[in-house]
Amino acid sequence: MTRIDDTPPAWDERTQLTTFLDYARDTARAKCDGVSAENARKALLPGSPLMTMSGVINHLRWVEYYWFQVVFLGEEDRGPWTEEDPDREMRIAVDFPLTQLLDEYAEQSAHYRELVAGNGLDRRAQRAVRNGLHVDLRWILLHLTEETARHNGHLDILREMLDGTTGD
Amino acid sequence: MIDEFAKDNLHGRLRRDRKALLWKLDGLSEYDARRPLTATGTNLLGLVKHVATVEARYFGEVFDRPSPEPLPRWQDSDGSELWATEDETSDQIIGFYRRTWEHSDATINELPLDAPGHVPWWPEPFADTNLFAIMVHVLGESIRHAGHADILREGLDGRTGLRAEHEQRIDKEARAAHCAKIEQAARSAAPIKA
Repeated sequence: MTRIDDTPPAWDERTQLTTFLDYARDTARAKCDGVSAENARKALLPGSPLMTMSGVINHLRWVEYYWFQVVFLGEEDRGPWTEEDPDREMRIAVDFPLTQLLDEYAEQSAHYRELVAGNGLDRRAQRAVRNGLHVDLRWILLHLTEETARHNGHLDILREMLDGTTGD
Repeated sequence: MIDEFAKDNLHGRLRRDRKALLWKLDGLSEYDARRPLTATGTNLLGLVKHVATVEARYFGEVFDRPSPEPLPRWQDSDGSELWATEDETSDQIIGFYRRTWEHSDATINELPLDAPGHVPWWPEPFADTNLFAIMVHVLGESIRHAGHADILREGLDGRTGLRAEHEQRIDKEARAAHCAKIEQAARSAAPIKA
């Protein structure tokens, strides 16, 4: 069946960018439908012990936090990561039920949807990225869409390997 | 009208993600590039064939600029656009992908972002679209497949990385120590109350 839910209801840039990001978020959530609590915490790749479905969902949640609150709004970084443990959000994910991680991700997405609605796409981030540039809101939306889509590819394969479930 | 800066940004991302996907094949044997790695047969060279076909169709017939390439049958029931047959070489498939980039780039360069397109395999009333939407769609699809390639390649030989320039040499000792630390933490963790 052809998915139509990444088709925006209008053709202006804002509607399209926000529709595509929501589609990617919804896909991440859909990939978790019905996965067992045990499988959600299982690492399948010997070289990547943090790569679990729970880990990916918590990573996506905190990546959005980083881009919207730390970079765009310029707030102090209160993420779970540390210098010694830069991927800590993926490590601690397995300490929580996946349903809780998904709820937090969804609540936070709703909050950021309002933030995006209240700001121009041209508005620059408060905090500079590595190369000293202050990216604009449209850049952040595209970046998150790409990052989420690539992790959705990871979720596709992990889920298939865990219990055989495939699909959009 | 969406500005040209947005177009350059999208186009730059697409170019970068194409290279990331191809890089996932770097140094593999023909067999490892082709063999099925999941229960449904997902394989690395087939991902390239599929994404090349996706680009050829979306930046081709959707804008009435059909690709000059003989395209594999589209979403065919035997799924043959998702795997390489024994008489197709990897050079042919990679060559098809690279030539398709040129065709897509010409479409992107020559048309404005609001240029109308029509996707015959999308249901009405969604089939009428524009270049901006198609660029984001293809970008999202390409990078999701690159995500598939990430996991499959790591499973084959442990090589990982977002893009070639981010690859780090595999330090087996460091990985083993890292895994041991996490294994220890996992074993001593309290049970989850789901």
